[in-house]
Amino acid sequence: MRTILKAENLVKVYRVGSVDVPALRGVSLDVEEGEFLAIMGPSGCGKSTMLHLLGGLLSPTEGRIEIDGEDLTAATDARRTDIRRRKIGFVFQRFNLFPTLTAEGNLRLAEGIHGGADSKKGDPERRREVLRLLKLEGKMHHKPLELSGGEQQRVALARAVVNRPAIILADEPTGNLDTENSAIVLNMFQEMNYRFHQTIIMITHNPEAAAMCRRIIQMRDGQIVESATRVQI
Amino acid sequence: MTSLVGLSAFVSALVVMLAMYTTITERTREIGILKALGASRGFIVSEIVKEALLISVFGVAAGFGAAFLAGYLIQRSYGLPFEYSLWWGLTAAGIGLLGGALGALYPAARAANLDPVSALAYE
Repeated sequence: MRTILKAENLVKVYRVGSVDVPALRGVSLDVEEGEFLAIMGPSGCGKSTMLHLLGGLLSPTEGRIEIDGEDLTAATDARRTDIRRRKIGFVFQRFNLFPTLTAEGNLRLAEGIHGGADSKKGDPERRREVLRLLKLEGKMHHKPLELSGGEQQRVALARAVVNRPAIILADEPTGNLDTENSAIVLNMFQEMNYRFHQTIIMITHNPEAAAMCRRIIQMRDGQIVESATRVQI
Repeated sequence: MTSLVGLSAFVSALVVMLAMYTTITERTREIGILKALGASRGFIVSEIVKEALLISVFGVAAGFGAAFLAGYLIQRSYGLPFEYSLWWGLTAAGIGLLGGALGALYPAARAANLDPVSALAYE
């Protein structure tokens, strides 16, 4: 298996007033292509900071991140944005859909950003395929407020995968969902991982969600304290 | 006359800038989402300027409508004849649109430079 994401000795220190607050204290991580990985740990242990660093939304204070052979840390802000656009899809706990756009409109926007001015209309076939796979075919023309929480999260997942990014980063994707919808969304993640061989890194507090992943990483105080595959657990 | 035109251009740009600044502050989170999706600074600036231009087009159209209506009512009430010049009409439209685009540039640049993580956390 090829290593698609490599993080070496990541350190992130936030400056709050005149005080330095360390969020990550030397985290190293290798993720293989097609891996489904869970990151667990108590609140404030640095999980979200790590996900933001891996997605190029933040720059590390020290350390190096390589995504699919491209050095994210040495890149300029514009280059980092470009890598994120081409290789990464985000799913957030709060869905973060555009409320004025329909489900299909949200996907079309992601396609427009991914493909530039030439592909504003995107690929309707692919869009429909993704929406069909996520059982949202009948909801294509619904706006987020007309959808349940589970459906909104599935639209967010559809938006993240529509451009077939190499890596999906999910920040507590089931945090706002009930048990039934959580199970549906997690099954969809597994399906995406299996069908499209997409690498998924998911932050979760939910042990049942983590149990669906192939590897679980435990973090505490800005460090990885344990990494185990499902078989080992 | 030129001073009036200059003043109207300045005021229209200022009004658009304030309107777009408020809009962008309210939509900080959406800018963060665009950044997370990988939207470049150019994409964000162009979307905001396009929106401002669209608003300006409606504003210019409404302005022309109001001017024609006011001219008609004044002519009917007081018998004062109104003359409309194509050149001044085009100049007014140009000022309205250019003012809109220029007024949107600063808020657009500010939005494009937002920190994505802070923008996503914006309530």
